[in-house]
Amino acid sequence: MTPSLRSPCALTALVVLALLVVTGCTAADGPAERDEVAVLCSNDAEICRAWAAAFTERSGRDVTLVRLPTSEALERIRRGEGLPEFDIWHGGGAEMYVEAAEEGLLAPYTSPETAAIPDEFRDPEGSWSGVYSSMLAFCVSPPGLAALDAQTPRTWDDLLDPALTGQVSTASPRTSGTAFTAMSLQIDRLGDEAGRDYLAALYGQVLQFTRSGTAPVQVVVHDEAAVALTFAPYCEAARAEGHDVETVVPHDGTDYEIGAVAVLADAPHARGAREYIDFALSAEGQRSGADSGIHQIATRSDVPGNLAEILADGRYPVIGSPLAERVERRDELLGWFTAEVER
Amino acid sequence: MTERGTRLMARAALVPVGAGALILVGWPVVRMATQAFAALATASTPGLGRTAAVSTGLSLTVTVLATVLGLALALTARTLPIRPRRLFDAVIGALLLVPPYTVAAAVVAVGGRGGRFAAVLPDVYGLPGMVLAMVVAHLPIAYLVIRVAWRVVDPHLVEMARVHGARAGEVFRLVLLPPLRAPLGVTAALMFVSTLSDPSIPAVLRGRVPTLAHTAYIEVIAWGGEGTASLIAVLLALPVLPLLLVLWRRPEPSLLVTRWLGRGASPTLALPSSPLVNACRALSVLVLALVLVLMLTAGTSMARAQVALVTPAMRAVIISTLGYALVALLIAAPLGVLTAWASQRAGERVARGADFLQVTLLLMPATTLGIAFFLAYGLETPTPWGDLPALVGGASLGSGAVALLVAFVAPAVPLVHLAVRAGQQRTPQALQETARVLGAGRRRLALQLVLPRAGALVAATAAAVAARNIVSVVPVVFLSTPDAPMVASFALDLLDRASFEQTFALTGIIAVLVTAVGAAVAAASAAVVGRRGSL
Amino acid sequence: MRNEGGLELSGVAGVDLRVRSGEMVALIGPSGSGKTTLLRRVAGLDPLPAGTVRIAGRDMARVPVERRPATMLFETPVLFPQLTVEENVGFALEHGRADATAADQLDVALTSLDLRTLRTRYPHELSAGQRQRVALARALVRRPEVMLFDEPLAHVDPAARTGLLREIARIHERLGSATLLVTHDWSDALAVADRIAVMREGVIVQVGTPRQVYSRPASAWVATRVGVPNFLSAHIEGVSTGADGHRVRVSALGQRWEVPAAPDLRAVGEECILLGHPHAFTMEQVTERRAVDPRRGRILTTTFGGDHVDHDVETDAGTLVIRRPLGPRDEPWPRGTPVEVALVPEAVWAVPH
Repeated sequence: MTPSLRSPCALTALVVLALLVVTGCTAADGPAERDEVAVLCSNDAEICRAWAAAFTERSGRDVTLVRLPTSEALERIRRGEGLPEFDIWHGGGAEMYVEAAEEGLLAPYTSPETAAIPDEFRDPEGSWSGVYSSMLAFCVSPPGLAALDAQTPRTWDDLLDPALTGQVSTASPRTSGTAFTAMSLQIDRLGDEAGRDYLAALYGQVLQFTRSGTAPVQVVVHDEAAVALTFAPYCEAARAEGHDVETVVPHDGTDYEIGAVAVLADAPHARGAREYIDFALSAEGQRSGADSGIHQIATRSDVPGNLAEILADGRYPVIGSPLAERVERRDELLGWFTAEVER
Repeated sequence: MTERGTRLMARAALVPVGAGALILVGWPVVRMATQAFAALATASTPGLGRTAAVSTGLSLTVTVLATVLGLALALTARTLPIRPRRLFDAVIGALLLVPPYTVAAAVVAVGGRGGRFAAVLPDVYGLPGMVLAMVVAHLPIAYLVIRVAWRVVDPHLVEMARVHGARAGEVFRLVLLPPLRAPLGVTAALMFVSTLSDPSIPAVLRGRVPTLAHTAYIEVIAWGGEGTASLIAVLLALPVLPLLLVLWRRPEPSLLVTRWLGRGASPTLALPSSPLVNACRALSVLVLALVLVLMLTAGTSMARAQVALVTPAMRAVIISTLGYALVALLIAAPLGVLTAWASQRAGERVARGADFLQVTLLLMPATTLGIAFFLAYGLETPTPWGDLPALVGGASLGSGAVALLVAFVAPAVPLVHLAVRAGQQRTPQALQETARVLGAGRRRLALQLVLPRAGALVAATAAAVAARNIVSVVPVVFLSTPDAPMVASFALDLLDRASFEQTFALTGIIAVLVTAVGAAVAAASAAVVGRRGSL
Repeated sequence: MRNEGGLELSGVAGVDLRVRSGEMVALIGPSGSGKTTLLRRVAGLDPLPAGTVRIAGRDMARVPVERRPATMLFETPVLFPQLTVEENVGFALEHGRADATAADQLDVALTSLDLRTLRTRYPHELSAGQRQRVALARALVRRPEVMLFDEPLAHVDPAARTGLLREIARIHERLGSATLLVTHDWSDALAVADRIAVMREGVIVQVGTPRQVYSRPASAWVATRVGVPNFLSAHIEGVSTGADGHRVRVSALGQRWEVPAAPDLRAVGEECILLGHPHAFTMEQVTERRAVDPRRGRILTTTFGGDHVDHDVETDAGTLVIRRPLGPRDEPWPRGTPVEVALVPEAVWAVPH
């Protein structure tokens, strides 16, 4: 290096140059080309990848995929207002989609495939449509329970067994739709006051709150807890991988999530986005997620074992409340959770 | 150029840097502070008092324990011959390459419900586990600071004390303790702040115990109020204020950086045999055994893992983090050198002010910085001259690259600045005067006298900066997005899912890379500043 | 306790050395000869590979440094930098054989060494000489059985040296301890020591009174250490041992002489070295230098010493340093003056070659 390069002026110039290069290089160019679609996905990472792969295969369009938990995804969409980044939001509890729609963050689109989705599983204005569902369940570790000398919990009250203190894993409802669904269910099951009392007792059994809704099953798989509160498909997938876990749908009531898909307002690639929606709502689209090994329930009425069928035949003791009610109580419940449980 | 001209130019050089710092750090901190006061005024932060009390108690305990154990280890090391002492340094120093969350994961691997020694150990979730992990993670800091501070200890002083009948306790009080007062005071304060503001160990081991840092982390990523996050960020910065006050009144760099005495091992200290020395030795053996158990358990759990330890996503994260860390170093190093040069030329008052601001930036908890930046630049900022773009998050300018680079650069610039300033002061006055009498101008003085002496120090600092950027948790976890994945966020995701083995594998790869990168950066810096021969 | 007091070294440094209470032995030798190591071993700072150290009759093998009744002053005065003069001296009080009146003792020590006005100063505010005095005061209050001084005057400026040496001697007298003083300055040793031990490569090669070591060095090597300038080679022509001690007959400077000799010079025909201080030779001015006269020489240099003058004289036997006392009217002889040189037999000492 010659002395001139070491002078402060040259150094400053180097700094500015580096800054420009870096910002330029790492800027997300976004889907600037015509045959790309940008998807913000709030389902399990493997399912997201399976969806993207299936869509690409079908349409020839590349998919730029970013995976974020549902509430973080909603935050991202809010921040992206006026700076459209994504075309599609796929996956995650419909409660968030309702909020997003109310804030005008979604672009209504009625796909030809919409007809196969029952009314109760989609937005009447066409802002979003439910494309998969999962039942809330316990994922238990029989060896773990045996070591604790505890019975397999079959009801929500069984979770309050003193032997299970510190052995229950669940996500924080503040970060996870799964956990919020479980929380909301208790209010539906027991009423507001008794429900909160129950929740206080239940949360007393929890080891620690995970961030992600898919984490509790892994906590149980790694023997750090004996029972996970989760959606059944995640537990089934772990079992299919060879782990010694069992899915138990509580006798005294369960609920389900509806995972949705929507076009985002100001989507840069409107046409590609609509094609994606058509795919996501199709039977092929709703089945493609299963390539990941996680089998979520389809919402289309023409897919065997679809949600409407399951609800009608009463195999699961579904309680649950209308989506609108859940959305309404969200802020208050989460506020209660923050004040009374977390702190 | 005349003296006056140089001074003006130096001051002018500091202006854009200062403006940048104001926009990127000053404004976010001010905004965060106002939000914090607003939250306090509306009392919208339930339960935070209890959380703060628990966190403070936890940090105090960890600080005391880490300091005591660091003392015991350093004392034992100093009484050993060179080779075993180097082994000590290597084992404890290696912990610096292990991020705190990995220490927490190792604690779970040892004592968690599925841990190797679960049957004989109490539950690690909650305060016991957090204390253990935090102590182990912060031990190297206390140990190394004490080791460096004790380089100035004259072994004759120990001998003199002993020939006058001093027992071990008096030797410790009269010979070993005095050089520690300032550095240990500062280090303890910094450890307190660091343990208080680390969200990663609580993320793994908190159980149901709320801590300030982890609460702030959740507030930032989850449903909730920005008010609580800002209030916590301000609380975390409060313990730094008394330290800053002390440093403002006593600006000697020696308060922060003990005089570096150069190469060579210090002579072994022959301390009188006593219960104190024996206790230190016993504690040292215990600590080393514990560290060994943690390391071995991590290793064996990787060996027994039934999943792939290294995934494509992990590889992408490592490359992304390395890239950002190195780019940040390329920005921070010249900036730091520039500000140090400009400070020296711009006059004493400006120099003192610049040094102080740099120290403030260095000491500010990274959590506070991260939260402040997130809150200020998560959305577009309206100004009278137009909107400042959002800088945080995937939807922002550069997909969040700017935020991450600022997060890396902000604490790195002060490190380089202070290292260069310390190097400038290392050249003895007599040598400089002799050189000038012999006809050496300022430039030659700088290149042939100051730079070689400061070179080693700056090279080491550059390596440390690069290493730290790669390993650091905060403020990265507040600012990273899937578009710009960072090792720390990726690791926290892994740990959320109890994927300990993969975390260990990630740490191992990072440790090797950090060592290689650190060594390469040190060598490159040394080559650039170089030994050009002395006058 | 005082009867058995003092220091006893057995099998240490190659000899047995006994230093009685109240006695000061100076250790002299070149750098690296092991003087400091010996002191450190007595203090317990370095391990003792062989032999025993006894202080006041007690074997110090298992006694750690801090419990030995010995104190040591280092070459560079070592004081606690964060304590005042008073506190530094007071520190030793707690560990010495303190009487009840500790404060008095402290005061006495400070006064003895003229430190009262400096009692509140810190070490960095003192000169090297003042710091050594503080170290001395500390030794004074400790009242040890054995005092070890390791070149205490090495870094003291010349103006303060004499005074400090006097203080050392005074303290030694006052305490009545057995004292080992390491110095490389022969005149310091001569001035204060009761006996002198000469060390070479870790071994003591001669112990004796200053007079003995000065006049009768054990070997040519010791002679160089004590400043003997004149070495003449000679053959032993005869040996005798009588009332006058062991003597040998030698030829030197063209004459036969009978001179005192080291006892191990026994064999006739053996080569020996005649050692002589400047006063061991005399010279007379002669008018001219006669060729081939071994007694004759010529003055090369002149060094004026006040009441004497030392001349370097070139002779056939080599250059000799000869001292000539000066009367009030005497002048030094100039360079080139021819002289006739003679031995003063009783002032010469013969040692093995």
